[in-house]
Parts: sequence; structure tokens; C-alpha cells
Amino acid sequence: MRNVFKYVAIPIASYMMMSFSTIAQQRSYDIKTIGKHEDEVLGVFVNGDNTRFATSSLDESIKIWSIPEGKELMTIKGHLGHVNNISFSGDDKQIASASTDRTVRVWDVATGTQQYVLTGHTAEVIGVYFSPKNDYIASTSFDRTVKLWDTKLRTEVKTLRGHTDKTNDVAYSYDGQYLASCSDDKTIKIWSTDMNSKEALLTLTGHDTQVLTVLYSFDSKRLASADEKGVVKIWEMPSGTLLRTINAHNEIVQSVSWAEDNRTIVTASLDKFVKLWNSDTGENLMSMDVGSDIWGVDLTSSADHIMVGCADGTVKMLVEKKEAVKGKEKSKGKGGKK
Amino acid sequence: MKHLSLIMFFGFCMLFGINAAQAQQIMSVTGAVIDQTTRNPVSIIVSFYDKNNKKIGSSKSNSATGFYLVTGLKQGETYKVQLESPDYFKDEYEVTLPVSKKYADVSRDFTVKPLAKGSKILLEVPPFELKKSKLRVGAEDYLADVKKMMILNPGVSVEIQTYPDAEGDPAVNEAFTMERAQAIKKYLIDNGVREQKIVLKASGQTDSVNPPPKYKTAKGKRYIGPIYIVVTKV
Repeated sequence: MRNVFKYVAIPIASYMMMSFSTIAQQRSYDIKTIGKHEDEVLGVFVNGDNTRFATSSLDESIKIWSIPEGKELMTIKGHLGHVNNISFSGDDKQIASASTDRTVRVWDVATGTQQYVLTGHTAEVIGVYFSPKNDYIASTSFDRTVKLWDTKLRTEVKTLRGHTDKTNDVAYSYDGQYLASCSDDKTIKIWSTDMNSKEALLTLTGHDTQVLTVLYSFDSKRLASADEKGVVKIWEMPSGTLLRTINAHNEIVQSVSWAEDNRTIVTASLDKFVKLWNSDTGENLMSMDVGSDIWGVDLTSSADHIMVGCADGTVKMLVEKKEAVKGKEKSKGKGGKK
Repeated sequence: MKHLSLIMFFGFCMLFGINAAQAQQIMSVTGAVIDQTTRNPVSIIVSFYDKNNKKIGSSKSNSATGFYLVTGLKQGETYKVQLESPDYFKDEYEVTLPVSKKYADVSRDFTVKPLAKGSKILLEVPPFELKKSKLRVGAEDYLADVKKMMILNPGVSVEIQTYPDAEGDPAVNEAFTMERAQAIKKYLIDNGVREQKIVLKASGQTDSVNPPPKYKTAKGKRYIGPIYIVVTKV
């Protein structure tokens, strides 16, 4: 009887528990291609109220799309080089873009007109991010610096130095207290947003290759980072303790994003896969081959829509299947995200 | 006596007020000067000139950090910044200061190019698209830096070295890279550089120092055949 319990009952119970867990946590999506850039899509960014998202491309343009329709609303041109990244302002009225032309440009979302150009980086600009109150823009460049720009004065007011190789990406914490930057020097640096502070507060080590992207969770208590080998790391902030390492992909991961639950993250890679993860457990919640290398990914607050920008120029939207979202609490919106 | 005290008080306030206003108008510029080829800090004289070409301030950047600070500058003014050292190309930039009570200083970095025969300056932002030999839109912006270097340093001669984007038939590749070299030369000549200052070296083989990557590369690192400006005479 003891053996029956040991060899039959326990495995059956374990299997049932695992099955329940998988069914409860896995999410399934339909995918559709909603449009195309003339060249590789590099950046994707969903606005704060989940009604628009922007894409940027090697074709030197930015496009704005509607959510949930996926309708192309506008094409913005003006950069003289690839547009590597984009960021909506907290009020969703502006977009900042980072380009190979060594500038950051700020655009009016309603009209698509260029408002101003920020020059000062001495190499390509790769990362860009609005501060939560829209008073600053942070940018990273292959010139190894992080620069802060005053959005009212439209000028460079501070340069953060410390990385010893190209800096790839930058993100503000949503509480506005910290900045995170990552670099080819394999580190992540955490900076105070206090304008009198010059040195990095923390240097996070653990990635064994170039770190390509960083992003804070909405509660500012976690930071996700990803690297050239497809490894994603989750850090507790502000302590900088490494919580989890996820061997997420087999290729470069250039983009990660958090859902509003501060637990679910989406990752996308040049291995053609977009994946959802529970950052608490490292459990893979969804995995989909989109058929093209992916540079950029972002999602709505509840993760019911995932937008991907692909190397074949296409922009794709993953929409959560209705049966999967049935009964779920309606999203509250990102509420000032990014 | 009471009136005298009041006059003195208001006089003091006015004086203090004027000084405070004056103090607010003064601004500093800080930053680093970096060698464009090595990305290492450089010790060099950084001088700010006003619109009347009067030197307003000057600083020698720190050799270990590249850090400089020039103060005594007025808010809202535009300055010409000159960088001078026997070891580097003379260079100039323009800086316009904002009007603000919020900041005592603003940030600005500068790059300089080593002035030595054999110096190899990589065009970090390629002026061509992949597999194209026509200057891309906006290439003038990137090449303006080379043009400025040649005009501010008229004794210098250079060789434009171009390499192909990928392995291939050497003859085809060489014809392609020659087209690129000629496009850059034409831009420079059209913009005031003397033709005899420029020679071309187009390669049919990929760059052995900076070869095409064997694996996928991250954002912003798309491989385009390197272009070097090599100093042949100083």
C-alpha cells in the first residue's frame, strides 16, 4: 500500500498540480502582421494609456499605430540616420528618438512635427528615455556616456561617466529616483537622478557578455536586463541583488518589457521568438516563433497585446485569445508608465 | 538719520540684487575632451571666444580624465570653442548656453583627432548605406567633421581608405569601394578642400583589422565596410 502511494498516488497528484499550474499560468495569443517599415524595425514603445504605440526603424522613420486596432496612424521623418530607439513622454504628448545621426529628437505626437534636436553625443545614440515627470530625457551612446537633457531648456545639462565601453540602453525608475544604464562593458550602472550626484550608486555585474537593455518594473522594485547571449536577469532594486537568471533565448535579446503586475515580462530576440515569463519563478508563460528576427517588443499593461518589431520590416501584434482573457480583471492602464 | 538708514538699506538691497542677477547670468561649461580614435581622455587647451572673437575663458583638460571647466560665460550667448594642442588637429565647435536660474553649469564633450603621420581615423558613422556607394541623405553631417579638419589644418594631406561590406570578387569589391572613396573625395572638394590634399585607396578585400562579423550583431552595430581617413602629411 505504501508503494502504491509512493509510485502511483504521488506522481498522479504531482502531475495534476503541474498541469493545473501550467493551464492556469500559460497564455496564448493570435498573431497578425499590422504593417511594415521599409527596413528593419528597431524600437517598439507602448504609450502610457495603452492606446498607441510607436516603432522606429533602419529606414530612418518613426511610425505611430493604434491599439487595439493596429492601424498605422502616422509616419514621422527627420532623422538623418537609423532610429535606434524611442520613448513616449509620461503625458504621451511627445516622443523622443535616438539615432545613428548622433542626435536625440523630440516630436509632437499629435502632429508628427519635430519640436527640437538635442546634439552633444559624439557617437551614435542608441538608448533614450523620458523621465517620469518629463523634465529630463536620458540617452546613451556608443561614446560610452549617459547624457541628461533638460526638456524645457532643450540642452545637455549633465553627463554620467563610468562605463568603459559603448553604452546601449537607459531607463528611469518610475519613482524618478534612479537611472539604469547598460553597456558593452558587461555591467549595469545605477545612477541617482539627483543632479549633484556624479558617480554611479551601484555597478551590477553578472552578465558575461554585452548588456543590451534594461528596464525597471512599474513599482521600481525590480530591474530586468538582457544580453547578447539571450540571458535575462532580474534584479531587486534598489539593493541590486540578483534575484533570477533566465536563459531565455538562443540569440541576442535587445528588448524586454514589464507588465503592470510587476511580475510578467516579455522578451524578444534575434532567435525569432517572443516569450512571456513569470519573473518570480522563471516560468515560461508563452513562447511564439514570429518567423523573423525581433529587435523590439513592448506590451500593454495587462499583457493582452504584445507588439513586436521585426528585422524583415514588419510590425506584428499578438492579441491574447479571448477564452484566455475571459474572466480576467480589466486592466487599469499603465497610469503614467514611461 | 532714519532716512539715511533707509537709503543705506535700499542701496544695499539694490546692490545685492544686481550682484545676484549678475551672478545668475554667469555660467560654466564642463565636460571631457576625448581622442576620437582611442576614446581615451586628452590634455588640451579648451578656449571659449565670444561673438567678437574675444577670448572669454580657457582651461587645460586633465590628461587622466579629459575633464575641463571654463567659467565666466554668459547665459544665452553663443561661443566658439577652440581646441589646440601640438599633438592634435586644431578643432572648433560652437556652444550656445541656455538662459536658466536652475543650473550653474552645463555639459559638453568634445572629440579631437591625433595629428601625426599615419594616424588612422575611422568614420564612426558610415556615410553610406549597406551595399550602396552613393552618399546617404545626411552624410554631409558626418563628413562635415572631416571637411572642418582639413580646412582648419591646411597643411595636412590624407588618404581615404575604403573597405567592402562583405567578402566577394576582389575586382568587383575594389570597383565598389573606389566609388565610395570618390564620393567622399567629391564632397570634400565641393566643400573647399584642395584636390591635391586627397589620395584614394580602395580595397577589394575586407578589413583585416575590423572584419565583417561572423555572428549577428546588436542594435547600432550593423557592419558596413570601414572607411578610414589616414593622415599622410602633417
